[in-house]
Amino acid sequence: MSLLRVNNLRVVFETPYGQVKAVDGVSFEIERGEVVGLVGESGSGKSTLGLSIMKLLPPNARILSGQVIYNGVDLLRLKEDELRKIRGKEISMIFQDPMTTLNPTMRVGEHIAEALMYHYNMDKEEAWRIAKEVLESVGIPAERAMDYPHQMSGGMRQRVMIATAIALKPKLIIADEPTSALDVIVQDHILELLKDLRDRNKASIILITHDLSVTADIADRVLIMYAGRILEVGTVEHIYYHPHHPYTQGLLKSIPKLGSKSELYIIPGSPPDMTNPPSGCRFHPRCPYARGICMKEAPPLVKVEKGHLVACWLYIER
Amino acid sequence: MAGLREYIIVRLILTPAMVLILLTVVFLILRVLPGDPVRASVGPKVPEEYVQKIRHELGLDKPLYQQYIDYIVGLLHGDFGKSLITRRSFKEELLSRFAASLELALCSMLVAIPLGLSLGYLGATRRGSSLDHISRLLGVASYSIPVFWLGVILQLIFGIWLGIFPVTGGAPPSIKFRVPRITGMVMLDSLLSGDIEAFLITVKHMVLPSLTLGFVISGVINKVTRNAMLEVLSEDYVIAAKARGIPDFRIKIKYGLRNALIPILTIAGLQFALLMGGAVLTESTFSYSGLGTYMRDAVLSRDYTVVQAAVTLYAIIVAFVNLVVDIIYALLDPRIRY
Ligand SMILES: Nc1ncnc2c1ncn2[C@@H]1O[C@H](COP(=O)(O)OP(=O)(O)OP(=O)(O)O)[C@@H](O)[C@H]1O
Ligand SMILES: [Mg+2]
Repeated sequence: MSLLRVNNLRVVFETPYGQVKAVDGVSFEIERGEVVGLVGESGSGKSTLGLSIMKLLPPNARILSGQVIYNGVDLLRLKEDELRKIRGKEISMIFQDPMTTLNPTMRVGEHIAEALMYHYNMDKEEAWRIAKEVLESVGIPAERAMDYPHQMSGGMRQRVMIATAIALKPKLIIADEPTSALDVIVQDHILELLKDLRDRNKASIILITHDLSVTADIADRVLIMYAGRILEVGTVEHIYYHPHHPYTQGLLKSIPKLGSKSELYIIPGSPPDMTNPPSGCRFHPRCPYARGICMKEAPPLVKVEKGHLVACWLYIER
Repeated sequence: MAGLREYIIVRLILTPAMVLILLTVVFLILRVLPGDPVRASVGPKVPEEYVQKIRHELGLDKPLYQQYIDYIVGLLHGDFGKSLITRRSFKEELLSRFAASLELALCSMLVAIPLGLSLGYLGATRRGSSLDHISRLLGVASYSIPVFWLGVILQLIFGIWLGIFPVTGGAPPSIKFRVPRITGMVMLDSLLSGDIEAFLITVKHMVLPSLTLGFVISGVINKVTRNAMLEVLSEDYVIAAKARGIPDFRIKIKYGLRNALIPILTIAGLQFALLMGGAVLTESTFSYSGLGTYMRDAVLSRDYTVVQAAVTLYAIIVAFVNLVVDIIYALLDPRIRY
């Protein structure tokens, strides 16, 4: 049994301009200890997908259908207080902007200690002792546990966020663009830390990013998401060396290469309007190979190799 | 905590500077106002040499800078000068009026803060519920109902129909003379001197004016609390705390209210300062002898020295409240403290 299985998940946001179809029939699974990259451009529904797994969507979101099966239990059917026991302890989350995700009037150590106290009924002293240990394990000296968030740099704060996410030894960590708000050198440090985590804690990680190259030496598999749907799934090798979907191919071409003089490729067209997405294959208005059927019908995800799935009419015999 | 000490010292130095600026402005405004205050106070029929004599007596014939120095030096010695009307020192009266206003302001805040804070908190955390609607209705009512009208209605219901509370506010004179003066606030003094009977009588007289003012002020606090809570509860760190499985009540208090307190405190401090000088209508309605009615009477009788003294006192209180608010800020917000 997979650690997590998402089945046909559909999430919309109700807005004054209509329904935003943010996640539209997504299915995938994650094995224990596996690192999965979830890649797609801005607005493709990555964060919405991540937040739905923990049922932390904003009030204007509606889950239309689907299941999120974690260890055999559908999280979407759980009551709030049952979910609370899973959040942080079984599944935890790292967010994009470390400047806004820590409580400004709370010491950084307390963010960790309070979670230990609530989930394990630990006494204060014990909780703080462990909090300091966890902080040290992500490279923050124990004495900085008494700092307030504003006394730390962005990189340090993101380490604190990672510490809060691993303190309870969860089986699944959802990291939503954990490096995007940081400068390049700090980004590398944080990625190293995540790799370290993968090796030490044997936790599964969903690494959400809009930058395909970030997943290259950390992920086992990559999901390519576009306009609320998954277009391609495969191992890092599949995606990097044998990309099948025209969108994936475009993404790869648009990664800048060291020493290359040629101009950077940009996928033509612009991201779709999610209140009124294109018919059929969502990518067809930007696809160089689009045909009649692409506009009419959405292609299913089909296997092209073991562990390599693509949703594109190019690979479906008719 | 070295940062906190430094911060407080800076505020302590700035406060007298601010008071001095306020005093100077008050002094200048009253001097540049058209008309001769002494002539105005005695009427047109009094002969000029008599007016001249009064001016001399009050030091108003001296050059402006000399008057200013006398005024500041006098204040430093606790001397407010002499009334233009009675030509006697009015310090006693002023201070007792001031203490009465302070007492009323404190009692009103005792009503306004719990009421406004809990209504705003409930409105924000149960948004859209019937509690939220009631809270907002009370909020709107509190700004739109004129304060004297509310006062009269309360007098009618509780004073005349039910007969539970007296319609006049503040301690009755018999009690005032009976209780030894320690702070000047009769409620506090009666407690300090162990006169429980006097205390209870005074409390009874304070209920209606405090409810009236407290309700009016609660609306602002309610609104600020509601808005600040809604804003704070939509911050990323609240989602992050939910993702750690932190219980809801803890999130609402430690993440929500704790961070919302800063704007709430600002508005509560402002309201308190306003109450000190701006309760004229309530004081009139309840024939409460506070600073507000005193200042009103002084303005009407053109007793400029009394107006000047009352405004000065008011300026000092505003500066002091500011200082206290600033210090509580620093205690609440580590970003200011370090
Ligand atoms: N609270 C909301 N109300 C309405 N629409 C929303 C809301 N949150 C997200 N959306 C919309 O849903 C779609 C998916 O958003 P989501 O944040 O999941 O994308 P994303 O892939 O994480 O993008 P990014 O890389 O910018 O973080 C977008 O079109 C976005 O505008
Ligand atoms: Mg996102």
